[in-house]
Amino acid sequence: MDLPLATGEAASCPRCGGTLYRNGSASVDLALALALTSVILLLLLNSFPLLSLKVQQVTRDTTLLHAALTMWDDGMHLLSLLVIATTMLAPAMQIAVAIYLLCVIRFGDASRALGAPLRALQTLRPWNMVEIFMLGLLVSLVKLQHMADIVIGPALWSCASLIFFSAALTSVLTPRNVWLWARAADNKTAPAGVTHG
Amino acid sequence: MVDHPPEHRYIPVAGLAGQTGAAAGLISCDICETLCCTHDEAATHCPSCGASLHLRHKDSLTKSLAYLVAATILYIPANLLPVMQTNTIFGTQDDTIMSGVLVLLHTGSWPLALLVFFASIVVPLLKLFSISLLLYTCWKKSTWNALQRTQLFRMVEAVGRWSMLDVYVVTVLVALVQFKSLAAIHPGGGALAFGAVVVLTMLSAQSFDSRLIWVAKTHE
Repeated sequence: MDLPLATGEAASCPRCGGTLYRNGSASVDLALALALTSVILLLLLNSFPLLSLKVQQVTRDTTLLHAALTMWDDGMHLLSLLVIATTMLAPAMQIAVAIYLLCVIRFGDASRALGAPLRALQTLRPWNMVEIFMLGLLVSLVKLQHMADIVIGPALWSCASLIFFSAALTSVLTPRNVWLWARAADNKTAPAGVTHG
Repeated sequence: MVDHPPEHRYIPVAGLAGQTGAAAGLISCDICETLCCTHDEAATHCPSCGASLHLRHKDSLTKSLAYLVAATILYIPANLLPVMQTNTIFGTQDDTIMSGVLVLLHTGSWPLALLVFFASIVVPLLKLFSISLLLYTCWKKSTWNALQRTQLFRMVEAVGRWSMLDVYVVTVLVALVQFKSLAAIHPGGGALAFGAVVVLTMLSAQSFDSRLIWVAKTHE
């Protein structure tokens, strides 16, 4: 039931105006490259300090996990888990599932069931809140600038770039693209004479 | 490129203009967006991804309402209880969501204060009102402004997550400002309630089946 679309065009619902699908020129390799870049940025984001604060001779810095654990120590267990789930677990799982999905299409047997990973991806998507966390960092930065000297850590930069790359990945890794890639890979591996057309 | 596997090809293409999918016996899969044919009695699962197909989500309004009621109740402590407590040598100061915005307005820049005001005050209120409106009109099977209501729902889904902003600000401040007696920030109960409001309204919007907005128009 596909309407033929030129590259860059989008089909929308005649009733409610919602976008149904876009015809981009994205390839599996592009999506895989974006996903691998996101992995590196996610590792950087989780291993380096986000911000450090200098008050007189004392310096205090915080990583993402450390920030969440401080909340835990302060008795806010649920909130701490919420922060861990939305800024660490959800992005990590989302990228892991995306890489699995893309590897199956690219290197494996594309006719294998892609439903479960795609379902996981759709469920995880709204709970990945790295971009909101980034905005939270900026607001904290402004709030703290009157109190002390602030040093911006490497994780803040990787957080900023991770937003960009995961947004790009999300726009490329649509259900429609996944099926188109899977179908193309299927046709390529099918022996001559057996075609789905 | 438009090369359908065999199981999709029996979908009738001709003469469907102006019909709804339900009337034509077609369902779009919730997960993978594959268009599936429902004329076949056995077609309860999507041929592409195996997800079960639903013309409407089961108990959509009830679930959505349950989350909404819980969120509305928690919205009160979220705004009244302090989200954080600042202990300095000069004394103790409690900050609620609203006083946080005001502090930012006086000390920081007004664009940032405006942004936080939108994310933490306007968006949660907008969500509570919008979802209530959507649930009420869908329950009444109203035909009132269906297109605008659909757009409202899409906006609620898109901006809803941004309310988590305040929870993250508190998290970062608590983690950084720990200088023993000099200055220390501790989280307050308001932050927990606020986080719960955001999560519950997100779940409420997710349980709501936006196809219900159009029900009255298709069945009358």
